[in-house]
Amino acid sequence: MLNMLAAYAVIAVLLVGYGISLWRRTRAVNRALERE
Amino acid sequence: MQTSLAYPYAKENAPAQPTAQPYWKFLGDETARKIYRVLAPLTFLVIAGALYMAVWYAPREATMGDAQRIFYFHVPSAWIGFLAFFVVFVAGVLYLWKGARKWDALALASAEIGVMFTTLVLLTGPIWAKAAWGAFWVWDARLTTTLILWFIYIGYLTLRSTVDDIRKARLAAVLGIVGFLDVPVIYISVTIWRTQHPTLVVNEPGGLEPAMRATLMVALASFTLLYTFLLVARIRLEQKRDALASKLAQEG
Repeated sequence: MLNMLAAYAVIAVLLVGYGISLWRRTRAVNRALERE
Repeated sequence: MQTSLAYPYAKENAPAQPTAQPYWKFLGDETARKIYRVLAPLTFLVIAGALYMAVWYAPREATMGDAQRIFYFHVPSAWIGFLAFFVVFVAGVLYLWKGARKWDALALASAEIGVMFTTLVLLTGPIWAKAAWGAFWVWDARLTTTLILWFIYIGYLTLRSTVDDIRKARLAAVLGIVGFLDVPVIYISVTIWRTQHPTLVVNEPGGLEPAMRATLMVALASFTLLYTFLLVARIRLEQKRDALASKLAQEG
């Protein structure tokens, strides 16, 4: 059970982390485009 | 100074693009918003369904117990890694042939997502292996060739993260194409070498039982939707970077 939970947690952290990274990068470019 | 945000082609080597116009026309602001409106809730629902099926619907495997449930997301992660690198391969060929920036952007976007999913494979696999084999890692043919694939595309992203020009984009395309040759090797590795890694038997007698197969299929669908969603978002980021680079170039 712990193995499964650990693996699912790893998947969740990486996917959410990548999603946040993508969102932050897009927001930064959007802001820069608005300033220009 | 916003140069770090702009698409990093050196000015003197800049191709005809970057352009302020989206080169994937259907990924303009309005259509992208429509795509997100459908794709985001659909992806979320199917992932939630896959998670429910993996934990509660699929039966407990007799010998490995709950650790086997890692399989329902480990295999789809590998599938998406392969799919993503196949897209890098095709886009790389088209970029070298046509020279259009849209293929380069597609390859870059897909490579980044492919590396992320291959990382998931390489992290969830050892957790499952520890429960099944008693060791996190063995230098088995499938594990080793998958690790090599990961390194190849980490190299691809490293190349793209340096200050870029069109020659590096071409070199990256070649790397993306050659790197994909490792995918069929990974696929056949369990049949041509003696490995510890199990072979996936889905449709033959003695293979996955129906509830397990259904769970796997839903999980595969969920990650395919997620890949599509992330690809759209990542390509749009690249288009916006190009639009910014174009504006900065116009301002001199």
